Amino acid sequence: MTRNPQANQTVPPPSSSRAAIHVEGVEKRYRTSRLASVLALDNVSLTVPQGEIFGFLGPNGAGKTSLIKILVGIQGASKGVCQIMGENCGTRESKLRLGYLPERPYYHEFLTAREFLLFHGRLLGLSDSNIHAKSEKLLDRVGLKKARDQKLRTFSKGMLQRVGFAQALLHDPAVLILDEPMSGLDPVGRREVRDIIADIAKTGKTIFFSTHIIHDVEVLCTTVGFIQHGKLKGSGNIDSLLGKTVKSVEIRFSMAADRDASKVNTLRNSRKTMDGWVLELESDVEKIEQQTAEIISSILDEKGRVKSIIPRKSTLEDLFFGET
Amino acid sequence: MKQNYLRTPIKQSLRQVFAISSVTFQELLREKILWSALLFAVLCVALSLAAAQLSFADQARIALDFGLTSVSIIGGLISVIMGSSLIAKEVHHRTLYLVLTKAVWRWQFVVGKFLGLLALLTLNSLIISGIAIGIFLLLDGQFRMSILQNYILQMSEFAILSAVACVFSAFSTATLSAIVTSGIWIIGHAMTDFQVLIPKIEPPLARPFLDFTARVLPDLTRFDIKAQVSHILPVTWSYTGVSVLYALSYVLFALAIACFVFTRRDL
Repeated sequence: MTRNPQANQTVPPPSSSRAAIHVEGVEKRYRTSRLASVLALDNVSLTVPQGEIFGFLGPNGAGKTSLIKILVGIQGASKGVCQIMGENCGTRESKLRLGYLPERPYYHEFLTAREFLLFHGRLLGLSDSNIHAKSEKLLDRVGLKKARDQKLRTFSKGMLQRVGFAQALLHDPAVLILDEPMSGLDPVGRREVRDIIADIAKTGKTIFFSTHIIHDVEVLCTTVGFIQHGKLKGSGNIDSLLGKTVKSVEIRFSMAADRDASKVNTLRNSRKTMDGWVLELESDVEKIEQQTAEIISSILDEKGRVKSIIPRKSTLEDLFFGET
Repeated sequence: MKQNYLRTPIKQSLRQVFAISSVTFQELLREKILWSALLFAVLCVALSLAAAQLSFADQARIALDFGLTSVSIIGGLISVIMGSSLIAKEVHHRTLYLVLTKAVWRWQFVVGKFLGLLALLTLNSLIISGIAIGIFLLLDGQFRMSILQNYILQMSEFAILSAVACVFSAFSTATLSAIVTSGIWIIGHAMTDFQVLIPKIEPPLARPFLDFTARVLPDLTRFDIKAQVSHILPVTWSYTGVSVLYALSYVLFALAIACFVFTRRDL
């Protein structure tokens, strides 16, 4: 296990007793020369409740892997508190509670899938009989039962990710940390990995996964965190994060044949379409309801007919680009 | 969430070290350099048969000399080259990331890698020695205890070289580690001459530094008893025992440094 710079600190209890991951004021500084250093993580704080799927979003080089390395105990934080299930990261106790899937499958490729799981099971302190029993089940679960005696060298990238999932789940950890699990996979591989994650989530495990692909987060996650230049720009429940942001409303309506909507003051931003008029309204969340009501009222006053009102919620992409 | 973890921490710790050394052994067995070295050694030993035919003197002795020298050179080369890449390669290929995220201490990783290499060296030396001794006995040579003592001392030397290579491999690149360890291997075999030369070195100011270097670097001359084996000179078991103890202490010292350095390294 790595040297744990937190070992001598008095660690406060997690803000939530149900927190699976608790990060508070974490800084990571890499020395680039004797005199210079670069700050990879700057006062990052976040909490992931148990049973959540947390998407850690950020562009390449934002600090995602640095935080993950601290969480899994490969590196120590320069400052701050980092805990897994209430145990300081880097300690034996925290490592026994987490499963890790690295960004790129750097495995001992001369091993077969079963030998690979036996090796990692022994490192986890599991008995050989237990490892064999679990390996069979896990290889079946990730769809590699037939390839269990094949060398990892012959595996495709998707198969390597799947065998990586099997090793991460071998000791039935409470927390799974996945570093860009869908990176470099083709659409079929992405779908397979996404299904595995969704399947694991059903067992109540906490899943923390980093990605720079927003769609993956939208599809899988319940909570999200954004990181940019080593700083956490925001984190929380996706619905609540999106709920606070700007929305737009699309109103489709028709007017009487002799009426021109663009000549009505409140409707002047409307555009004519094949089957009527469309008005896209963008405003602050607080004002949008009132403005929508005023527009509908104007349409009705002009003897028009409202065909549809489609509220458009902000997407994670809007939020991501807004934040970054 | 009850897990079937082994209860004895020492037993578990040893099991983890064994798992790492076992995978290291398998990994090293796949190295082309090992098989090239082994082939070269076998050729050298086979050549000893031809060389022995050319001699009017003791043919068995010449064959044994060839064999013992092959074991020494090939084993030393494998210790230096493979030892130097032992940890550096894991860092470079990032295969250690997944290992270190398990409940494994970094010292276990270093010790496991070292033991894996030592197991390979034992096997390699056994094969070459076995062939060499087989030829020696075929040429009517008489087996003597000093041949076994030579094997034990050779293994001790390889253990020291591997441990020294581990120290450099823990914080440096494989190439740099190999260069420095090769230097130590050469100086270690010239230690007697080196110690004689130190009082004559000019300026005298450099002498304490050189004296310190001579004390820190391993004295590998004590593991070289090939001449005694060849000329049927006695080698006492107490000499062998003390040399093995020296090697053991040096290996522990070197591994402690390697573990200390590697534990503090930011990966």
